[in-house]
Amino acid sequence: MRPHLFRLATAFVRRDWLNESSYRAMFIFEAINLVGSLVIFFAIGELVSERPDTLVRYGGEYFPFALVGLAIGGYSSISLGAFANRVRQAQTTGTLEAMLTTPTPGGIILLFSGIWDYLVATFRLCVYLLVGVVLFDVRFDVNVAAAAPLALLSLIAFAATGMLVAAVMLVIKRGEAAAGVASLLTGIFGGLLFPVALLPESIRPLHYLVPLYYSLDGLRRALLVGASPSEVAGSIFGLGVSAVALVVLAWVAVRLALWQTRAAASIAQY
Amino acid sequence: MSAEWAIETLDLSRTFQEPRRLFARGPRRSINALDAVNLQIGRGECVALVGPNGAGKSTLLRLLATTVTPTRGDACILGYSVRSNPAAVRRVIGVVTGDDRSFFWRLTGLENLLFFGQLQGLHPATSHARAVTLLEQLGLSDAADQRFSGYSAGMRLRLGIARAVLHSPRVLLLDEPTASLDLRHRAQVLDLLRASISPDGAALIASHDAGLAASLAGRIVRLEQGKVAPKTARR
Repeated sequence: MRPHLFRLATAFVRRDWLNESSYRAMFIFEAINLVGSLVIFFAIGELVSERPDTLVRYGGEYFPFALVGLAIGGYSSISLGAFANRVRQAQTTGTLEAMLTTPTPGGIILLFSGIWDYLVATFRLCVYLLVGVVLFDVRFDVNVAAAAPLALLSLIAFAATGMLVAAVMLVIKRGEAAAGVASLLTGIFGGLLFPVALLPESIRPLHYLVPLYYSLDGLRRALLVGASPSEVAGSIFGLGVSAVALVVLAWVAVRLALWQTRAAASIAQY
Repeated sequence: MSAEWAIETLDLSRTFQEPRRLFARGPRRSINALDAVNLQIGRGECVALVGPNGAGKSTLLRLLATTVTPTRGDACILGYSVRSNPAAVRRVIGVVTGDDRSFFWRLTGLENLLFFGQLQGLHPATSHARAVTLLEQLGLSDAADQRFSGYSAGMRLRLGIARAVLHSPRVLLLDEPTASLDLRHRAQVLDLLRASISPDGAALIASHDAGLAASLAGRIVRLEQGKVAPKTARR
């Protein structure tokens, strides 16, 4: 019997839905948190009343810029946090060892452990955009042909990053601090809440190394000013190269991490 | 190694090195958990693995379950090597890990079994029917829809056994399957295990339970300090 990929994906989603929905209060606080953060950035946007030059390529206003940053940044933070948390949880409860004695490949177990978090991030993205339009009167000018490839490549790049982080977590067990630093640097150089043009010139070129930068730069332009595929070609290219590199790196890292944890007999250690 | 045996080990050895602390110096202490273990278990055979704590019983089961790799030697399950073909090994084994926490605590017993059934590649409907039958056989029907976190130690263990046999594996690797069970539930477990041993496969059961070894196993293998003791009983 070989596990069926679609059924497996559904089983992981069902498992995490059953688990997460058992924490009922969490849903209410998540909703408050989500709307609350939008209010903060709306207020900041109102403070920044003039249209800074650095935002002109994204339509000029701060709030829509931050809104897309928050929405897309959710995926990035999942790849740097949630994946690793799931792995660590599975290690501490012993479920990882139990899962790894089944015919389902370890890489699939790691990858599918993050599906639920991606679905939640997608739901959050929709809510962010909806609340932005309905409550804060944000106007989008969407170019679907440009946004679609950028969204797909972003998803691949973020999932691969998640696998990479999970692989590291499997080996070093306590990687929260490293993931926190990576998240901070990604936020700064990816242009999550401010344009990278504001960074000091000496460190600014580092943003070319961060996939989130290509994702946010391209998607902001495709969603806010209706940039065409040719106008965001640079972002698509940068993101494509990052995605391919990250997938290869993640594949190698997961294989090595699973081999190493079996060799060190540390699957059940944490 | 030959595919004629259900389980065969050849000089199977495993050394553990103690993890190093920050700023620690000097050589790392290493422990020989298993030392050149040679074992052959025939098809249809059930073998009890006995020995004091730290003898290497759980390590042997983990090596056979492919969650730990050997330092030296090899083992084959139905002809598949744990070193070179661990994926094939995982397709034919059912494991009780000896860790009764290894479930999703906020899911019910039935939900847990259905999830692991999917990992084993079972069709959801087959998985459901089989899980319901097993829960009944193990006296867990009433607790099927109860969260795992509310299970007693004995219930957790029985759910672990249900998970191990859910996909009707040909080879069973069981670590202390009757620890913390009362007499009634122990009897249920033994009945189920007796019925689950495939004539084409085998069962290797690590246990301190002398009664289990006597009533279920055709042979007893004693491990001492990582080696098979010379006087291993044969029934």
